[in-house]
Amino acid sequence: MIFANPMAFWALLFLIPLILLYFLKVRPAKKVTTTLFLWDQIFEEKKQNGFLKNFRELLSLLLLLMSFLAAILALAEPSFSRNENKQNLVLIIDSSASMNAVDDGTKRIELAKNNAQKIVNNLNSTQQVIIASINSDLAIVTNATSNKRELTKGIESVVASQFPLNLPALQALATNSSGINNSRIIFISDGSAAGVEKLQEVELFKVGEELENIGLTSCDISRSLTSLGTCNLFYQLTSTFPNELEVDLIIANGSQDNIVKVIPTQVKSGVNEPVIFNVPVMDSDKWFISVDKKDALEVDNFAYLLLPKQQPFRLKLFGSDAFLGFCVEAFERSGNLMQAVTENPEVNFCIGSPDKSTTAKVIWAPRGDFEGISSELAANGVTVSTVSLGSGAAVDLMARIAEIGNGRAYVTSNAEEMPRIFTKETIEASKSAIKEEPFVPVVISSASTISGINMQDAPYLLGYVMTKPRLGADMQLLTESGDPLLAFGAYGLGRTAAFTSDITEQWSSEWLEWSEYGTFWAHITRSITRNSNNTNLVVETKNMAETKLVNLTCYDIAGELENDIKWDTMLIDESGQTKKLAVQQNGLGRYSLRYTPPVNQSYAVRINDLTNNRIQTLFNVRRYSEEYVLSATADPLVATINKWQPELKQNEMNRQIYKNIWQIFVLLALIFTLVGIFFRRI
Amino acid sequence: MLLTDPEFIRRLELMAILARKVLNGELKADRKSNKKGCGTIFADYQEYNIGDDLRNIDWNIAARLEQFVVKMFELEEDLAINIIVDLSPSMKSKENFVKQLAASLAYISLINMDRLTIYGISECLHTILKTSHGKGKIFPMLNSLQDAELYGHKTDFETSMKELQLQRKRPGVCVIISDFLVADGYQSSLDLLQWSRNDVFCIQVLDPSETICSIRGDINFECTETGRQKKVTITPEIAQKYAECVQIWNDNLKKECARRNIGLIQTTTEQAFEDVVQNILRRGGLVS
Repeated sequence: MIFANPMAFWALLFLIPLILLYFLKVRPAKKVTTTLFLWDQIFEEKKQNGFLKNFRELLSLLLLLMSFLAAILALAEPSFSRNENKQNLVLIIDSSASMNAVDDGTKRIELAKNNAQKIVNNLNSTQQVIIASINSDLAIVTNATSNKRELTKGIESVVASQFPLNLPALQALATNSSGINNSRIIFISDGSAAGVEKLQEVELFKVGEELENIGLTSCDISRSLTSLGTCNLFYQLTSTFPNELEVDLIIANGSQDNIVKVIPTQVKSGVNEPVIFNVPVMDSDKWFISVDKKDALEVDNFAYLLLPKQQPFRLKLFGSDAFLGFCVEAFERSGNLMQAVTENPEVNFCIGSPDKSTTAKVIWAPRGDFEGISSELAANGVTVSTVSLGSGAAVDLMARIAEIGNGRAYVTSNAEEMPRIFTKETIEASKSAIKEEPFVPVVISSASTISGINMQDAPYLLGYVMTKPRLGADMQLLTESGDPLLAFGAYGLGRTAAFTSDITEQWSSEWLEWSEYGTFWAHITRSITRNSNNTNLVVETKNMAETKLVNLTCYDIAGELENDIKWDTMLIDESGQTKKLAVQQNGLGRYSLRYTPPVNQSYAVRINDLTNNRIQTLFNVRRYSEEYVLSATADPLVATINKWQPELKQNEMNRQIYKNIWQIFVLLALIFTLVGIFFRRI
Repeated sequence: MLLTDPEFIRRLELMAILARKVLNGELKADRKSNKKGCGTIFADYQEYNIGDDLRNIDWNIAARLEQFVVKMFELEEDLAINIIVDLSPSMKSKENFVKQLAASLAYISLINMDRLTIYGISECLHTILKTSHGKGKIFPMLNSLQDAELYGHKTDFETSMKELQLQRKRPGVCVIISDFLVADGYQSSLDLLQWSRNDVFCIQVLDPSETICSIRGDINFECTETGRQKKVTITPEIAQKYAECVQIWNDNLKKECARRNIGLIQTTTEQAFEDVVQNILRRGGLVS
């Protein structure tokens, strides 16, 4: 028997005054009587039982002392130990991702299974064992049994998963272990999960050794908004190696074999700086990034990324020219980049003057803003003359342009007269004219807008308008003679693209047959189109118990709360499966939607305001498991990946069970007190 | 005051103390006597002797038998009544009751022209009221009883009775009013009184607390007379034993009195003394 509180024995000193007090005679009450001789007679007879009386007094004192002693023993919190080797066991094998780590050529899961097997082999015939495995879920492998063959089979069936350890589930099992009567719960794990050593009612049996590891602690991919055709890839590495290492970071698209890029990377000890770089958008949205390094945990050397799908650009075409049919066909050939629609367009494509009644965001003038150009050229001292060729020419427009440009307007129906006209005009103005000759656009190396478009395959253009670039213009394409072909610049508050050639059959007849025609214009259009302004759409996300609540607040252009908005919201999971979500209006300009996020998956919630043509997308990238987070060498995770005992001690099973028995002494104290009172009464 | 209720006093006047045997008195009164004398009730004839009163010669007999015989008549004398009151300290709780009882009996005696003497007994005999008779002694009797105080430190029946025997040569009715809780015993005292041919009558008066012990626990008993102390622990068992012991003591008193043909009345102070006088004493044959 051991005592948890031996200081309580100092209370034995109280026995001395207790005994002294017991022998002190209490002065009894005085009572006058006339029959004292009768009392003498009575107690004369009682004297015959004097021994009994003395014995009673002694016994009473003895019982009092024993009662006091029992109380002191109870205060000392006694417990007795015994060898408990008949207890049933619950063997829980950690099958989380960290158990994939390799120690001396053996996976930790195998070490855990070997140790579990040793425990099973050491059982006696009366002990029953439950075998369970736990990763993100707790699974009972075998029910309670003493059949070693069945237990061995159950142990062998446990495999390490790619999921993190669900520690709360394990704690809940231990806490609510009433169904497993008085069983020892032994958790065989590498102890890498934070808090595993603080589990109550669970005996941790560690396996494995401290190992060095490099892991991808964070990783993400998204489409580039500024550079069409590219996507941004983000990654961060963490190392527990003490020295700086050079590893290859392999980026693959579609499948792991389709390696796109190999990046030699210097990895420092601890958490490295995050790296962002561009990769071109490729056919597959699936990207793979891996670290080519053999280390303890291979599972964190690899990450799978999914590039969010890009929605097609919605164009509404206005006008009746025949070329529109060619444009529509060209746009449709561009795949999902551009889409001709009749409702809810993002851009209105107009021929000539725009329709004022439409809600177009971009006015596309396929023949150029010649009036503007003309006036600007005139302001810059450039003379603009016009030649109206053919019967369908806009003679008035050309005349007005010439008038604004301080030039001359020529009208002819015979093209053969053009050289004469140009000669005349050259004479008049020496330069600045339409140059009609086939040429191949020259791509400037820094061109970003049209990156991703194979301009080398671009067909010939048959002509262009010779212009001079403005100061600050962003030149993207040039003619072979070095004149600007495609330039971007700012005009007023807007962004402007200038294409000095044609998109119609006049100069671009071959381009209409070009497979990248739609893509080319989609890039140009997207680059000058104002991004969807969602500032009037305030989105708040709240985590509820198992669901997420998204609160939307909508304002119109004037800043007033906007009601009765038509929504199109959907949840897109990793596999691209979509699920429609319902939006409810619950106040003035207040809307909300609730959804259950997919478990252990990345997903996106796309919120489309059909009324105002606003889109907001909420991305939720699957959190990197804490188990893989090797943030620093001093990380608690790293700190716990050591100190384990590879060998199972034989006496581990014969553990000492300490049972508190102070309640027994309290009961004894009560019994002694009651018996003492009884003896005194009799 | 001992006797205050007029109605009760009127009832007392109708009572008389009964003597179980004929005792000789000193003065002429209403009580039958063993002696022959000049009474009114014929008793016997006796041969004339010189000196006899000639008026008592039955001349008819002398004429017929020529022999002088003298007619003898029963002599009616008074009765000596000795009321012996226990005035030891043990009677403290019963003092008033005992005095009232003694006063009632004394009143009856005086009303009936008996010779009354009241004694107190404790360590020794103490005369409370000298021999008196006649109604004129009623108030002195009451005053004497009223003024009588408890005395002594020990009840010594035997000594007191011996002194009484020395003082009272003639037998009479002796009424002993006491608790009879005498450690040294009372039997020899009763024998002494009987030896003196007294008609003895005992009245035992107890306090209810003397018959039952209602206290429990550790008690330091102190004797009211001797002052001796005794520490005891009273348990229910002891209390029960005490009650049994008191009962045995009382039963022994009853047996001793019965064996000596001594009248005994046992009462407690719980009972009204009027009821004791009118009913219990009457049923006990002390008064009629």
